[in-house]
Amino acid sequence: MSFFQTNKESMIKSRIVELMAKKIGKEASKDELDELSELLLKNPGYAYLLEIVLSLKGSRNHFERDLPQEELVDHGWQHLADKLNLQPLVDDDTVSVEKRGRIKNIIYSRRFWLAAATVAVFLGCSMFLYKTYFGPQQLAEGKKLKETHYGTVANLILADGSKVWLNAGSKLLYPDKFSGSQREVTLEGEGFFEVTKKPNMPFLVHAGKITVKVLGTKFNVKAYTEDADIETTLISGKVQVMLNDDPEKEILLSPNEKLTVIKPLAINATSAQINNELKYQVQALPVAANNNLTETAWVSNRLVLNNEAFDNVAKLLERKFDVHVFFDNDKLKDEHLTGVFEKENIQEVLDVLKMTTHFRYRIDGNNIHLY
Amino acid sequence: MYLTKVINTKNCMQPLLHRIQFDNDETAFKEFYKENVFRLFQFAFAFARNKELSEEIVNDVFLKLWQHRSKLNKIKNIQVYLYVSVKNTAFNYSRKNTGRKNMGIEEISTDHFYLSPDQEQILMTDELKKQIEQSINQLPPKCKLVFKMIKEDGLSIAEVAVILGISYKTVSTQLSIALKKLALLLQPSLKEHEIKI
Repeated sequence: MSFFQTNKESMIKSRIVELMAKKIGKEASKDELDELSELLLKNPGYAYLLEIVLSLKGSRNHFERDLPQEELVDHGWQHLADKLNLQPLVDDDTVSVEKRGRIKNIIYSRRFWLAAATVAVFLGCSMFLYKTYFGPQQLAEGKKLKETHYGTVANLILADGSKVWLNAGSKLLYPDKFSGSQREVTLEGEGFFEVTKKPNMPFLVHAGKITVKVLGTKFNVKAYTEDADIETTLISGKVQVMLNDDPEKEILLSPNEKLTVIKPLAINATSAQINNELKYQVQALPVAANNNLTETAWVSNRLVLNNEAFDNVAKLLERKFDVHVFFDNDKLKDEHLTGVFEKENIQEVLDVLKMTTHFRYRIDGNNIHLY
Repeated sequence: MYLTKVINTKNCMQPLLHRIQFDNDETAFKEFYKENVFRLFQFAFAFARNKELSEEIVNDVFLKLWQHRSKLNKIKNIQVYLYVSVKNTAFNYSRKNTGRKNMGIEEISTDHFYLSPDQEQILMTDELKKQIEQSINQLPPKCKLVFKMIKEDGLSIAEVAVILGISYKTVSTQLSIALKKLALLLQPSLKEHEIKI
């Protein structure tokens, strides 16, 4: 009797391990995931094992213990860039051009790239100076700036091991080494932070009119200058949000809470009063399916719309796809949309949205007209 | 786990790749390079065992990618493409240098694998963490490489199979071996959890 029991037991255990492997290897089907959940309910010891394995992360630091990742990458790029300038495009269409004379092509390429590089540098500089938030500040010694254009998401690891995901059209100013009693960075745009715990050295994010102070936690800050408000969403841990104009006020956030700070209106020459009071609101977000929170979907490159007003959606689309959206019919701005998107391109997204909301669109290069 | 690895950004590579191919955008190419290069350095290092060579191998791959950028949109899975290219380039180098015909997968060994449990998700004693690390690092080389590529590089079983040129079944078996080993190691703690519930 006991022989059969042990045999069955070990078969079940093998099945659990097999399903766990599939889950971790991203190959489990919905049925398999359900089966795994059921099995784990009956074998809680294995549930613990799964929790552990899922929480494990390989640490990047082992490759070079003395050279940080960023230096290695820059170094590699330097070498590649040198080789790049001498390489013509290998393309069936331009074969005839190349045949005419390799030297000619190389010179053409070099000049083109030199021109392109100059333009890029010029644009970069002028934009940098134009953004008055970073205004008179020069990039101080030891400070670095990471910037993302529309249509791209970037991620980086700070000197203390904290991870930052930068959404499209954002900037992060950070030191290459943290020293002193606090770790401080400045954000413009949207960033998701996974901060390493350092109880004696709190982590501060300056984002326009607010400063977010954390000890060790995961949270999202959305502070685009063109937006009317600043949002902070906390996923886990604890943060304290301080309003720069009212330092006495400290708002403590618990996981799955979102703080929205409404920026004061710009000074209007004709208005009698300047309202400088920052208004804010804390909302609790639905706990189910963290992955589907609208606020942080962008980190895993999804777009999650939960009854969002169309004009907000337009902004999200502009940043994600690097397009311009024009409302030829203003009434559309108030339409509310729902949907989850991951790999779709802009046209596919619009087609899906069209199915439940009445509108038409026209694509003209990078411009999208809605009517 | 809330966030799967950094490599989820592979989906957002599309706009960059588009700019590289259709706009000859060198800035996009630089950004693409920076996003991917460190992982690929480490992967190359597993074969080359030499820092300078790893950099050369990876740069070779990116250089070719740039040269052939007009066909970028024909690549279905850019991550797999990059890893496979690095592996092939590494094999070519080793053939040149050692004159050996084939470098088997068995020859690869990955560096010491440091694991860090997410403290927000699960509390673990340092002791246990060290034991887990040791357990993983003592896995046979193929098994360890598979575990690393899945956990650290965020690749799926199918992708690992294509990259390493081994069967899907082999990859999932290797992963199961790693899990069973961990289960064995954690026996006492697992039992604790069974009794609690």
